[in-house]
Amino acid sequence: MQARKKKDSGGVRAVARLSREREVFIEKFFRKGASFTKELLAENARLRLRAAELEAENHELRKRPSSDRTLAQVMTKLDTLEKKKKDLASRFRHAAETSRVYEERADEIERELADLANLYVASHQLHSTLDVRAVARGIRELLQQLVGAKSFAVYILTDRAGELGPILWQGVEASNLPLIRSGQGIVGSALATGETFVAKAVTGPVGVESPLAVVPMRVDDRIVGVIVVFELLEQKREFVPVDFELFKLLGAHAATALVGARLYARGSARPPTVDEYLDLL
Amino acid sequence: MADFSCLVVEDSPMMRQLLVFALSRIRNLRVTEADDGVDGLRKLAASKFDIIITDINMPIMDGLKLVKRIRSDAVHRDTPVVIITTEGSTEDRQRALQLGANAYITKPIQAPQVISKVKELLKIKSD
Repeated sequence: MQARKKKDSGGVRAVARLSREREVFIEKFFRKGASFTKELLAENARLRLRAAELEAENHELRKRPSSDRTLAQVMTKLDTLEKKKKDLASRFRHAAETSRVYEERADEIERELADLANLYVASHQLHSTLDVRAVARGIRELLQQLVGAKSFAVYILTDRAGELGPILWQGVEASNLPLIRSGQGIVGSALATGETFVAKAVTGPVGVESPLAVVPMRVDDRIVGVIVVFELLEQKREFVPVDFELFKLLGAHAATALVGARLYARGSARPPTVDEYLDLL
Repeated sequence: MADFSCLVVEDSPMMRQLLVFALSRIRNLRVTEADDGVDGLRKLAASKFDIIITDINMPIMDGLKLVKRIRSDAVHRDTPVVIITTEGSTEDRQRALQLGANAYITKPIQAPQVISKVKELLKIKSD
């Protein structure tokens, strides 16, 4: 009986031990299962992300030239555009250059117009009157205000052949304006040769010995006087091209205007009638 | 219809003619001429001008006196004035500017210079 009781007690303990071992096993099994599931879920998420990345990469690759032919087309297009760019740049440079040339030409034309206006006004000034004083005033204004002469004199032939005497002057004393013989000095030489004299600068004291310019005045082919410029205004440093045109105009028209006005004053001081013209034509 | 008006006061008909020619190169600028300072004042009493160009050496009333009168006149005191003269010295230039002239041009005048100065004072852009 006692032996049986002892045998029963040993069995109970074994069952209890087995039961504990089973529980430990089950617990370990579930714990590992949970851990494995977690890992699976994480791996799944990583794979999803990678799949999305590959999808996007694939989409980008689809957008890119899919072949060498497309790449060649793109390069050709690039070359064409590059050539167009160079062509446009060249045309722009050409247009800028043309514009600059036109601007310079426009400035030149403006200057020429201004010079022509000076000549027109000068001519108008000389020939718009038959009054000797007005013609003389016109010559004075022309020399002073258009040429920029500070001191000057106008000489006309005297009664004695080949001799010049002053009839108007400015900026110089009359006592410094002697009678001049043809061929005497620079002024007399201009009368003798009929050639305009222009000095580069004043070489001596203001006077007939060292003029800045001498312009012979003609009536037809005959020299009847000279214009002598001694000095220029302070602000005018040298003669400019239009001055030489003004000298030509003065040489050809000043004496004609003076002589015409003088003859008109000496005559009847009235315009000739048609018969008087016809008698002369 | 002129956009701007200019009074030219100059006793020399030749200089007036040259100035009028130069100013005719500016589009829409109407030019009125006066023989001397007194005539200039008469024209100023009748109209308002956008700019005045005057010679200095004139009989009856010279350009400097005219500038003085203009600067003391309530109607015209702000009108730009350009002085034109044969005098080229710095003193004359300063005298004119001190009296209230806005610019100074010496003779012999160059049309492009006159045009440029007037355009500058009237704030007209070059063509």
